Amino acid sequence: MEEKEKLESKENDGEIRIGVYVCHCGLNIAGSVDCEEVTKFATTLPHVVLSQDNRYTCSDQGQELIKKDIKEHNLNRVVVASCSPRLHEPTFRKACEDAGLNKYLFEMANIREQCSWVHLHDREAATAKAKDLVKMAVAKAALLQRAEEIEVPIIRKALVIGGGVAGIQASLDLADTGYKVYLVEKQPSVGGMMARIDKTFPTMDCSICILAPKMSDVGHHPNIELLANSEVVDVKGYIGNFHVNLLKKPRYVTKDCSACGECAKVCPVIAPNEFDAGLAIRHAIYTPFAQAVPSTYIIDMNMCLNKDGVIVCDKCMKACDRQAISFEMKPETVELDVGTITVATGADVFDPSSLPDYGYGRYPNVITSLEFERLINAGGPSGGHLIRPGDMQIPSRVAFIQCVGSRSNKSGKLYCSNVCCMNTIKDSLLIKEHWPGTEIYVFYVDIRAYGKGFEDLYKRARKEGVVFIRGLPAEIIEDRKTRNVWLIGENTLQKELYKVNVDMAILSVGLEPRKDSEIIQRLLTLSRTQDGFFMEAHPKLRPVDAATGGIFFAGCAEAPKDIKDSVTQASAAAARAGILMARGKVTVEAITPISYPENCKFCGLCTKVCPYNAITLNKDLKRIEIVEAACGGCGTCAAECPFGALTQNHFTDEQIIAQIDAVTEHDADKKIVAFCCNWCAYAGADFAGVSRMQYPPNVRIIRTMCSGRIAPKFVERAFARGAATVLVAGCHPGDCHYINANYQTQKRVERFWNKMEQQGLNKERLQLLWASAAEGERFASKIREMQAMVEKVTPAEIENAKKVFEKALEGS
Amino acid sequence: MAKKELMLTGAHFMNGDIACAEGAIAAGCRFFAGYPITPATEIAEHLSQRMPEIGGIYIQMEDEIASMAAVIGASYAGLKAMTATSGPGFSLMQENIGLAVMTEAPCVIVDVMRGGPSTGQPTLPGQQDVMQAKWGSHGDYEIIALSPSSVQEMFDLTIEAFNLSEMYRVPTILLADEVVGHMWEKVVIPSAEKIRIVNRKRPNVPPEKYMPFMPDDDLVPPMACFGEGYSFHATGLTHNEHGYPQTQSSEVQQRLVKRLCDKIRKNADRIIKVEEVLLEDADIIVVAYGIVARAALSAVRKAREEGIKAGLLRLITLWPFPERHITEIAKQARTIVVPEMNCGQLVREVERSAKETAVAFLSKLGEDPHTPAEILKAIRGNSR
Amino acid sequence: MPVRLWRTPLDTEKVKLPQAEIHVVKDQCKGCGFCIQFCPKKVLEESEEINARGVHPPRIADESGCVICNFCTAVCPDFAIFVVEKPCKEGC
Repeated sequence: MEEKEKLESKENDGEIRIGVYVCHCGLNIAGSVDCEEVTKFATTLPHVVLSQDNRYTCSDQGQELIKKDIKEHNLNRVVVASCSPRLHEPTFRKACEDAGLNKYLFEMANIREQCSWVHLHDREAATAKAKDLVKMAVAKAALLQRAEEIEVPIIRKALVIGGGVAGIQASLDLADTGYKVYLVEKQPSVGGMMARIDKTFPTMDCSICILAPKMSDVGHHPNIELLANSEVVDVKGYIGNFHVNLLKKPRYVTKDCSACGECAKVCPVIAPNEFDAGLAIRHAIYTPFAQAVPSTYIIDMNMCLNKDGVIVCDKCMKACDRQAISFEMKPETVELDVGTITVATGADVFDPSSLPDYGYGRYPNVITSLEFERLINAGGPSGGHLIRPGDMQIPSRVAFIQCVGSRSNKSGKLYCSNVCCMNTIKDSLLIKEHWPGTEIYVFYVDIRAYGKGFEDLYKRARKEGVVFIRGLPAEIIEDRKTRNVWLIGENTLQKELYKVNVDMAILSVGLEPRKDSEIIQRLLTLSRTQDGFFMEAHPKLRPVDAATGGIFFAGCAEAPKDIKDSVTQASAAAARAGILMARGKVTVEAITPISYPENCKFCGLCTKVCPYNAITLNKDLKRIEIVEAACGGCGTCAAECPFGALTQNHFTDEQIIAQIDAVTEHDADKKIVAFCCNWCAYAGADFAGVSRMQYPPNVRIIRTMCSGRIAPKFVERAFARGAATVLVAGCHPGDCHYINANYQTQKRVERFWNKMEQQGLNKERLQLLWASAAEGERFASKIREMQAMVEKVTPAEIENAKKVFEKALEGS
Repeated sequence: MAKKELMLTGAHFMNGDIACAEGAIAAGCRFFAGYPITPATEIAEHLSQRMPEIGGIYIQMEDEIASMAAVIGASYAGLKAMTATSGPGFSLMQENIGLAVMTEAPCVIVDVMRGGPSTGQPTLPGQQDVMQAKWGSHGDYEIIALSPSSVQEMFDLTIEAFNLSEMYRVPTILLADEVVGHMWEKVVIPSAEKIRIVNRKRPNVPPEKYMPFMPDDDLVPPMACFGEGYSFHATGLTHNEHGYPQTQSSEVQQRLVKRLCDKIRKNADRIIKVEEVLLEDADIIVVAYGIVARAALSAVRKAREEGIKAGLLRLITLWPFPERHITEIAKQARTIVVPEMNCGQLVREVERSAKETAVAFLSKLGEDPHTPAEILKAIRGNSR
Repeated sequence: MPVRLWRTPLDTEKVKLPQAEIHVVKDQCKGCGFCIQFCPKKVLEESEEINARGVHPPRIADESGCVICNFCTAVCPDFAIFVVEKPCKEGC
């Protein structure tokens, strides 16, 4: 305690003692940056009392060194120049706290993802950049103040969106742990894709047989409230405190339904059944499938003859002896308060109708793997007889075509769907089991049998005589008379063309992101990768966390995967959600606004831009009121205030200006001063680094939480100090991590451009970039673009801008 | 059905209006003058076909005022005459109804009540003309009004209406409602000899001795008809027993008006008909008429199943009002529930006759008649 | 499950929908048009002929579409239309 007090007084006592640690990160940094030189350089910077380089700063050893130095050298600020703060800031902050130093007195310089990795071939420039970055970090560190984080309670209830096997598993794990779970499923029954499959690989278990007990558990678990036929329509709040609005769509069948099925028998309306991929019929009143949970019927009002409230046909009502049918049911809104949300919305199946060469949708005997599952399923439309739709005969020669809608430019889906190879192998073995004489061909590009037991299954298939031909058909042509199909393509291993006649072709379709994932994305402010699946916080270290706190992923929502991986991920998500809920509280980062009431003019501009309504103007008491728990930490309010009455803790105006000044101290006319938001642009720059995309080294990135933090005066300062170009980068509109704060950014930049034009300046010198965390290449190409601009900017233009914006230098 | 026959003896599936028309034919009506109005149009339409078939007369008049006038004329010419209308037309007929009362012309007016006031809701039921039936015309008078609850009663009570009007030389109103008028039910039409027909009393003195408005002991004068050789004067002005106007004599006015009222009032017990259901030990009694009585019956039965001692007094005769019946049931009932499709008309008469006993009024306007559930709820509510 | 449902289901033959026989009592019809308006399968339409009441009774446009919901029967104020199920011929 005594030591802590001593340190506390040292922190604010006037003498700032900064320790700088430059990391080699093995050769990751040292390979392209001269770390010793940077370390030496750091000692020349104001307030730096100690500068050290080491191989792996984040290791135990490295952390211990920092802790030791804090105590021994009375350090009251620490700067680590290494990887991205998005990766290890928490690690080093903890080390500081362990040594008694408030974690907000720590700063990082990103000399790996944003320096060594992207300037692999220009050691000199990379080193110069690294020095600059360290200078910036030190300048900011000198102005950091300690801060205490407030604690926010976490509601010990979980929401799971999606009732497929992943959602079911996550719900059961959370419920068994003891938390109340709300499981929301859009369809009338849980079960998802797994309920439709016949057998699972590699064990050849019957899919619904292993799923149905879990479905039943979910329906009966005392801790799980199953809300089927319901959709999430609105989510407000933040980690630990989500307020969710659900729409419970009406079934028109009450809880008295005993699922006897008498109603469906008399319903005169028939239509293709989605569960059986359109191969069987259902009625307007139906149960999705025999093992549906909840086990009850539902009326599809689009098909029912009773429209607009007029009951013309009452056959089902008459047939129901429990009087369980009510056309008066209305949609209900359900409001829930939960602490965590698990997104298990699954994936859709690719529709090969968009590939005209395969003839799907025109030739009856070209089917998809999903239709195959239903046909071979004993509970399916053909009672388990694999008949071809054209003439209902059992085929004697079939072909499977892999990678339909995956790994291909033509279909627009470049990723591998993971499950199709094994699915085909399993299917071929099923055929051989029942009809051993069938000739089976599998046309593939690569066979991906990566998992446990997968290779064995593949070998078995080959032993059973399944013929694997490497080379997808270019075209499928139907034989009009027999309705067989000809597959024409190249056997690439034998380098010869083939023309194979089969009775039925099965397209092994891939998985694609759900068409309505955009809605969930918007509601929960999630990111999606280029493929359209949801993006995890970190692909290796946080594979089930979303970047947004309190939200987790399970199953194919995050990427195509098989049942085992979905279940695994679901349990992982449940564990991660459980961590939060077990702790019962979460600390809110202390990056909330600081107000200077003496400057406040009660204009209320700040209140208008806050996406969380966390700042309000009390007109009677003439003061601003800030609700810290609701504050998201974007800093837009601080940027909006024209009177200097607001700034953001840990990203104060002075700290940002200090970084700008550090960048522009030397050679400002050659530099791109970039302001990047933590969640998208900065992360995108990191991603470029991770992917080793190379771009010119003249850019210096200043990190803010949100692009909304960037006040016009920062841009003015940069130009006033002679910067060649300035980049403001943030999330795509609509994807802002702070809901809509980046709209303010857009407005401000546009206003700035107008001002530049009016003042006769080239507005191209200020660039605006929307780049997501997955768009590393987009970031890199922008820097390349701006580098060309930097080379074109004349000294006269630099001077001109300096003059125009010289007022911004006041108060420096 | 082959319609050339006079009597359509047998079982039929028909609607209330048609049943009323056939009832009129069975009662001996051979004159209809009217004007179409929903929901009574079917009566006129049906009789427009039937009257020529059976040698009767159908005239479509220019309006309801003329219709009523024609009916009085036909009645005085010796025919049993009828008109059919609904609320708006009934208002137009009022003046001539007064004339019929004053001249003691036997006739039947069918009012198939609909939603009012004014043109209101032509296709929906109401019971809003009940008071108008008694008080609609100016001056003091009494008429007879009957209320059918079923299609069979539309047939039977039309015959009854003619009989009463002939017996008492008074306009008799058949107060039906749109539901009873338009619904379809089984009707059994008996053979002619099984139907009781009453005809007006004929004079038993020669023309020179005949006094057209000299009553018998039953207060009803025998009626001679024009064209039979009896020459007399019939006027709406206050008149003496000879039929000549005596407008200056208070004594004549007193005698005449009193007799016109007394002829109904003193014979009330013979005129009034009600139906009593489960009344013996009832302490919640529902008093209802028309289509509402059907729902009330169902409600009373359901209430009995729940153990409530409910009973129903169905009024078949509305005017003269069955005061004695109400007073009787008021003695045993704790509450009398009166459901009506109006804002409170016959219930006032019930209250007046029930005196101290509590009367609960259940109003319903527009759309459908009371459901049994609604009446049952009121019974339950008043049984505690 | 967004794959469009373009196939004819394999078991359409299995479902035997009842065959209807629609009877219009032409002269009892008063031309209100409710049966035509409310038929969910649009099986009826107004005919050109005039009945004894001077109105156009309904005409059967497509008897095979009738599902014997009986709404026309229920809604007709004059009991002028009703539907019976045709008896099954063989192998129902």
